[in-house]
Amino acid sequence: MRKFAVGDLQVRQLAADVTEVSADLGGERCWFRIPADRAVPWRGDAWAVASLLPAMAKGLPLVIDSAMPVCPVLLANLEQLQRMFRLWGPALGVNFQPIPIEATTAPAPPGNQVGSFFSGGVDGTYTFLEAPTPPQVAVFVEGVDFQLGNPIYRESLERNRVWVEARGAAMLPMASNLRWVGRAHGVRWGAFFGAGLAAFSHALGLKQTWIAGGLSWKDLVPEGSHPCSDPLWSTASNDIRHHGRDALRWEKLERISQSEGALDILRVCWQDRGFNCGQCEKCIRTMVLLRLLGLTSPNFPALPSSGLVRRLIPGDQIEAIFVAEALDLAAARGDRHLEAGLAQALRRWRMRSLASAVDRDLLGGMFRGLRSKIRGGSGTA
Amino acid sequence: MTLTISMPSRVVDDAGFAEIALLVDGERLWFRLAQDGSPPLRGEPVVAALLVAAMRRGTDLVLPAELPVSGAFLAGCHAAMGVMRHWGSHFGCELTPIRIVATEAAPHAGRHVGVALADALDTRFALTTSQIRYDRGLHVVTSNPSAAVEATLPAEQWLPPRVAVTTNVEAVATRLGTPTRLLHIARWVSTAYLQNLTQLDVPIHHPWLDPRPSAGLPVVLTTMGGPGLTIRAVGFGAMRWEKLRAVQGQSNGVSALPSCTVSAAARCGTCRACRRASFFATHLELLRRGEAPMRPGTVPTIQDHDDWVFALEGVLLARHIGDRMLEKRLASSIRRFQWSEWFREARTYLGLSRDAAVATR
Repeated sequence: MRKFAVGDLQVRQLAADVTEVSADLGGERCWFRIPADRAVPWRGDAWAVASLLPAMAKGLPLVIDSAMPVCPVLLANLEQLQRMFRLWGPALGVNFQPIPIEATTAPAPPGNQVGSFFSGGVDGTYTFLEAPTPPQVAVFVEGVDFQLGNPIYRESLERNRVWVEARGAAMLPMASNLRWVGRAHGVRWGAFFGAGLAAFSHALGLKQTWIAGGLSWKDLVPEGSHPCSDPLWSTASNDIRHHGRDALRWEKLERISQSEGALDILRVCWQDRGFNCGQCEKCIRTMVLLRLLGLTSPNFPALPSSGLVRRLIPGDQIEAIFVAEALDLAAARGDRHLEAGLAQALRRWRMRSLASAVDRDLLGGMFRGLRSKIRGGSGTA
Repeated sequence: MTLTISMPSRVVDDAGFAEIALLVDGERLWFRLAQDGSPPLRGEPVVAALLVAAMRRGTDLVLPAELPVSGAFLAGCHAAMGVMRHWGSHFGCELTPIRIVATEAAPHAGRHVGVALADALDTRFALTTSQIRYDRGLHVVTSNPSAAVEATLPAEQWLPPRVAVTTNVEAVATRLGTPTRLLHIARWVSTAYLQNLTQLDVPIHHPWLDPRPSAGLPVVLTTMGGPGLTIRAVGFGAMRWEKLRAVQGQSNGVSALPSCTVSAAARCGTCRACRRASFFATHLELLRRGEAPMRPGTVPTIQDHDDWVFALEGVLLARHIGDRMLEKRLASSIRRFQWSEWFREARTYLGLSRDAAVATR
């Protein structure tokens, strides 16, 4: 019978200060490169968390090597998570199927240190500053917010380190290819990042982990990281919590601007074109918020004109929610130019959604199929 | 601006019942419960009853000195307000975080482990699947007639010992502006504190596929507990048909379908309760497929978001048991609803509806 096997755990010293731990996840080699001084006993928790959604996407029984025991609390939680992600599958664009899980169990050893994920962005910085139990370590993962091998990672790491250490915490850098392993199994990072971040936190042996939420309590749309699902990735010794839904994005930006130097390290861009490209949707809406709040960051150019905003098209529902929040702020602050630009961006998104619904419901997906064919033909798929 | 709270009192009558009452802006809010175990006067039940209404009005809650609250409870309320303030647009109103001014007291010290006996199906499912032994089945008899169905819950051996609280808390909270979906807080949190509970499990229905903000209710309920009282929402995440399947072996397990709110004698077929009953019937028929074949024409028209969730659950059930025909019919009903929503939105954007001026932006 076919199965999604997790095993072949290997630990090797890559450099004096870096240990690489890797395992085979359903035929893909997944690795975590962590500081050598994190003496973590190697178990199956991180790998079970990392494998659940890929195994469900493939509809294969998840079988974890008996040498990699899993915390019984986590194992019970994985059943709950299966139910949740099955329901969310259509919204996340993945057909998650229920699967049996075969694993040996053993209580997880106590974790140490409270951590939060931190890359110098709006959500991570807000959570770092506002989490009810202050993080002792800020985990910065190469391969998540930065592509592996991006030279800007080093620059950002050093800037973040100075800022974090000035606040009495330590920077904890690590690297992983988990994002790409998920993609190889058909699960994009947007559906997977809660599990991915939880896997990193188990790999680092933390005792409590804050995952920064992006949206507010107003919008509880299915996402890879969600206040309902994130705590379920916990073990008995690593309490994983979702944080930051209490504030809108602009409120977070306003809050972090009060922390000295936070805007000097602000980096939100995923495009790997410089520190912040200043052209992508995420950069533009951050620049919009900075302008509306009367703030400046040396990492962003000033917003040139509302023309740039008018060209903005939210790529999905979540981006549309952020644009709508910015629109409300522009209206409240009386910035008519930005308000008009953002309203137009939102209208474009709605028209695009409507067109896509017409194609799906009335035309049987004709245009979508055609577009896929064209993209396939031009080799850009 | 404040919501004036005055004249708190606790009176024990000859029948052994304690009545806790106070005036809120001149209106009497009261709770009547067995004296045995009812704690002295405190502010937690009052704050829980009035918090959302005060947020809706944007008025501070100032409690008299006779109604002290614990600091932990206040902190929980502030966290809960941080969540609920984002839900205003969903309920068509502003929910503004407010100040709560009260004398500080030691944390509430409860003794009993209770479960809220509410909607029949959710309660039964929670009791069937729970590993906890409850020593209190908290039953709120409300002065709100639409919820009077709860009083008909049968007294069965397997239910935990029932303790009743009679109160007008829902009526008062509603009159002061609490949205219906948030009445859970007024109802359960206030009575949990009054019944000296150390833990209260509240069975609720929220399949994770429902993205509405009130889906965060489990978080708010938990937040409003404190060191002496743990409040948990239970049974969410399961779909209605999973709950039906779990309880259908019990006597009266699936008999409590919602009654028609239009006609006492027959089902009108269009009111909210009838639509819910119809969806329940669809789910039940699917579960009993083979015993009673599916009747044609039993898929109701979706008219609101609750119906939408029912229908979506039905699609998943139909898919689960391989009934392609019903899956298609339910899916087509969902699509019709989505299209009507888009059409409504388009009318708004084109300036053809009354709300156009507000929503065009």
